[in-house]
Amino acid sequence: MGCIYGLVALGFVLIYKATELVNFAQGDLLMLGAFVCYMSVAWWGLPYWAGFLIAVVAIAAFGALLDALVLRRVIGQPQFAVVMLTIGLGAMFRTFASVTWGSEIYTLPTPFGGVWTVGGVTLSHQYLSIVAGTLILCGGLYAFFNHTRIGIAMQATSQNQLAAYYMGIPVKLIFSLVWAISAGVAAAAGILLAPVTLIDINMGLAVALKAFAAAVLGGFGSIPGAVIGGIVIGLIELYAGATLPEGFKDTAPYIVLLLMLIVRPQGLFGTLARKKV
Amino acid sequence: MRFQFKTSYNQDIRLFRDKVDGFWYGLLAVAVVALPLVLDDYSVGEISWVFIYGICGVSLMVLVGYTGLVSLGHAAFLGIGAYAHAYFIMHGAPWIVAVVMAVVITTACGLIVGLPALRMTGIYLAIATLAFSVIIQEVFSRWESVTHGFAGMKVDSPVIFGVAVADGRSFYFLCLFFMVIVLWLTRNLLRAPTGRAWIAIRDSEIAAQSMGVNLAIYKSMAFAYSAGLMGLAGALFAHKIGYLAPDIFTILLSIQFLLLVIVGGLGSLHGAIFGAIFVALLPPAIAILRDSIPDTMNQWAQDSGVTALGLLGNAIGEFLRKPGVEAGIFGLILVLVILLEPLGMYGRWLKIKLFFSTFPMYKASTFKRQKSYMRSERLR
Amino acid sequence: MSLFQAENLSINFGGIKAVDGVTFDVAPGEVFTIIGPNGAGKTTIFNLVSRIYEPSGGRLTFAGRDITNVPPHLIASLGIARTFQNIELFEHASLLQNLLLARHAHKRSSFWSELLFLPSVRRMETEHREAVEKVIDFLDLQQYRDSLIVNLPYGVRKVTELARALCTDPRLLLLDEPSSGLNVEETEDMAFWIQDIKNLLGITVLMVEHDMSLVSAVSDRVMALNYGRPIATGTPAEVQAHPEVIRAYLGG
Repeated sequence: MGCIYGLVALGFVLIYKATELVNFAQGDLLMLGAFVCYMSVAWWGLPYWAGFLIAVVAIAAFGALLDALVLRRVIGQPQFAVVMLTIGLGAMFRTFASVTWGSEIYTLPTPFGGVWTVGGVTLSHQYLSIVAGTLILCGGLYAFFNHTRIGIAMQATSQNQLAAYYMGIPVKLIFSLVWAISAGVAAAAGILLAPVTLIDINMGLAVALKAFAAAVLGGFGSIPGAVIGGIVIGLIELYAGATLPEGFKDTAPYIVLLLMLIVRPQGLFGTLARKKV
Repeated sequence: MRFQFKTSYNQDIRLFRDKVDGFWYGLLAVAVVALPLVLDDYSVGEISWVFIYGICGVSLMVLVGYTGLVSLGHAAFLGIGAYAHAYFIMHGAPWIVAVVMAVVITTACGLIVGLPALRMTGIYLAIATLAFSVIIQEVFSRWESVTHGFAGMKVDSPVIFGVAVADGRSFYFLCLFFMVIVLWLTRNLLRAPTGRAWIAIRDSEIAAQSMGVNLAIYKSMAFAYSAGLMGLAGALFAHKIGYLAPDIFTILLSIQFLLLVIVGGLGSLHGAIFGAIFVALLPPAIAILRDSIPDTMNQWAQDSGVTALGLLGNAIGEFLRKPGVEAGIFGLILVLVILLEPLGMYGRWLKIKLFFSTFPMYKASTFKRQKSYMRSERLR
Repeated sequence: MSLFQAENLSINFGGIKAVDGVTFDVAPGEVFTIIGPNGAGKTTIFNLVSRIYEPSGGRLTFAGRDITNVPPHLIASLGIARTFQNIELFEHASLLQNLLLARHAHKRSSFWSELLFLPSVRRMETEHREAVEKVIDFLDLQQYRDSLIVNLPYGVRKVTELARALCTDPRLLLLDEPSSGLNVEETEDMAFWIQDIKNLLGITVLMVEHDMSLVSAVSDRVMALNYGRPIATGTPAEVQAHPEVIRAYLGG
C-alpha cells in the first residue's frame, strides 16, 4: 500500500518539479487508468499485459492532451487557481467515469494469483507485483531525470521557464511530456492497485489524498522523498490499524503529518528557501 | 460615464462610494427584503442557503482572497460551529448563548490551527488544514457523547428570546440579518489597518514585515476571524439542515467553499456573495433543468415535427439525472472560470458595468493583462 | 554622536562570510552610501539592519539603543524604513493602500474598534491619509493614487517604494539601489529627491548604489565594500581614487 502512495506521490512531485503545479486530478487519472485496463481485459478479452500497456499509453496521451488543451493556458496564474483547476478537472473525470462505466465495483483479473513463501513469511504475488512495479518505475524515472538530455532539460525548465526557453529547450513539449509521464505513472499505479482495492469511481480520491500527504511528508519536490514518504504513510497506516483503537487507521497518517509539519515545515527532504530581496 | 469629485478624505473611507451607489444598494436591500413576499416556500428556503454560503464565502475570502492563506479544511470549522451550537442548544442554553459559544469555540480552533500556519506557506499549509479536517471528521464520528456519531444529531428550529423561528420565511430573515452584519464587520476590518495588513501579507510578506506588520499576529488573526465566521455559519447551517452527521463535513464541502470564492472572484467581498449565489442556486437550477429541458424540447419536437429534438431532450434529462453529474458540472464551470475569467463573476460584472457606463467607447483591451511567464513561487 | 552604528557586523551563509566584520557609523542628517562590486554583501548589510537576517556576530545600535535583537516588525516603529532592490510592493493593491500600509507602525486602534469602525478609527484613518497625501505631493504621485501597482510602469513603482518608506515617518531611510532600472532623467529626479529628503525632511539616508554619478552627487560619505569587508571609507572623491577600490572594480 505504501508503494502505491509512493507512486502516486511520485506523480505529484514530477508535475510539481517541472511545472510547479500541484495536480489534484492525479487520483482521478489513477482511477481512469484502472478503468481503461479493466475495459481492455474484461470487455475486449485482451491479455493483462496488453491491457496494462494500453491503459498506460492511453492515460499518458490523455495527460499530454490535457496539458496542451487546458493547463498550458493558465501558466503564470497564481498557483492556487491552478490547483483549483485540477480539482475541477478531477470532478469532471469522476463524472465521466460514472456516466461511462456506472457506479458498480469491478474486479480486475490478474496473473498474480499465487503466494510466495520465503523463510516462513508468506507474500502474495499481488503485493510483490506492487513493490516490483514501484521499484522499476522509480529506477527508470531516476535514470531518466539525471542521465538523459530530456530529463535534464525538464529540470532546467522547472527552475526558470523563460531562461530554458531561450536556451532552446522546447518548453511546451517538455511540459506535455512531463504530464504524459506523470499520468502514465498514475495509470500504472491504478492498475497495480486495482486487485487490492477493486475498481470504482472513487478509488482515486482516497489514495490521492494520502499520496498527497506522502509527497508533503517527503518534502514536495523531492523524488526519493515522495517514495519514502509514501512508504512511511503506508507503514503508519498498517501499524495504526493493527495496534491502535479503531478509527486511527485513517487518521494516524494525518496526525503524524501535522506534527511533522509543525516541527519541520519543509518536509523531510525539502529545502526551506527564502525569497531574496 | 459618471464622474466622481473627491473633496474629502472621508469619501475613500465611506461604505458606499457616492449617492448613486448607495441608491442601488438600497434598492437591492428592498428587493431582498421583499423577495419572501412574492416567492414560494421552496425558493425562499433555497435563497436562505445563499446567505449561509455568503457567510462561509466571506470567511474564506478573508483567508484566501485577502491574506493569501489557502485552507482545504474549512468544512471542519463549519462542522465545529454546527456541532457546538447543537450541543449547547440540546443542553438547554438560550439560542444566543449557543451561537456565541459556537463562534468562540471555532475561533479558538482557528487560532490553534493558525499557529502551525505561521511557518507554512502554499501547499504545505493546504495539506496541514486538510489533515486537520480529516482528523476533526474522525472526531465527529467517534466522540459520541457530544456528537452522537453516525446516529446523527437532530437540530430543531431556533427559539430566540422565546420567539420560535419555525417557518422558512422568518429563518430567511435571520440568515439575511447575520449575513449583512458579517459583511459590515468584514468591510470595516478591510478598510482599517487590519485589512491592509492582510493584503500586505498576501502580496509580500517581507515588505509587510519591514513596514511594521507582525506576521504572526495578523496571520493568526485572519485564521481566527475566518474560523469564527465559519462557526456562525455553522450555527445557521445546523438549523437549516436540521440533522447533523459526520459525513456532511468532508473535504468535498471544503472544496466547494474554495470553488465559491474562485468562481465569485478572489479578493473582493462582492465575489464572496456572487459565489454564494452560484453555489447555493446551481443544484436547484440543475434540478429544475432536469425536468424542464426534456419537456420543452419534446414540446418543440411536437410543434416542429422534428423527433430528434425530443430524443435529444430526453437524453439530456437522462444525463442530468445520473449520479455524480452535479459534481462534474461544478468542475466544468470551475475550469471554464479559471481559463476564461480569472477574476471570477465579480470581474465579469465589473466589465459589464464598464461596458454600459462607457458605451459606446468600451475597449476590450482595458482589462488586458500582460502575458506572464512562470516564475518560481518556491522562493517566498 | 552618530545616529546609527554597526560594529563588527558579520554573517555566514553555509561557510561563506557574506559580511565579515563590517564597522561603520552614520551621522544624523548625512547621506551615507555603500558601494562595491556585485556580491560584495551590500544588500546583505541592509537585510541585517532591517533584521530580516540574523547576524552571526556584531552589534547594531540605533539612536543609542541596541537593536541587534529587535524583531523585524518593530524596526519600522523605531524609525528605520527601507526600500527593496527588486521592488516589493503590494502588487494587487492601489498605490494609496500601499502607502497607507506604511502607516501601520503608527496605528493605535484595536481589533474591536476596527471591527465596528468607531469614530476614533475614522479619525485615525483621516490622519494617516493626511500624512500620506503629504508624501504623495512631495514625490508627485497624485495621478497614480488609485491605480493598482501591477498597472504602473517600473519607474513609478520605484518612486512608490521610496514613498512607502517615507510614509513610515523614518529617521533613518535605507535605500537599496534607488536608481537601478531607471533611465537618466528618472535617476536625476531620484537624486533631487534624495537631496530634498536630506535637506527638507531632515531624514538620514543609508544607501546602496551602483550609479557613481548619483553617488557622488548626493553622498556625504561613501564606504566601499569587497568580499564582505570594508576597503575604504571617506568622501566620494577619496573613495573613488582609492587604489584598492579601483582594483576591486577593475580586477588585477
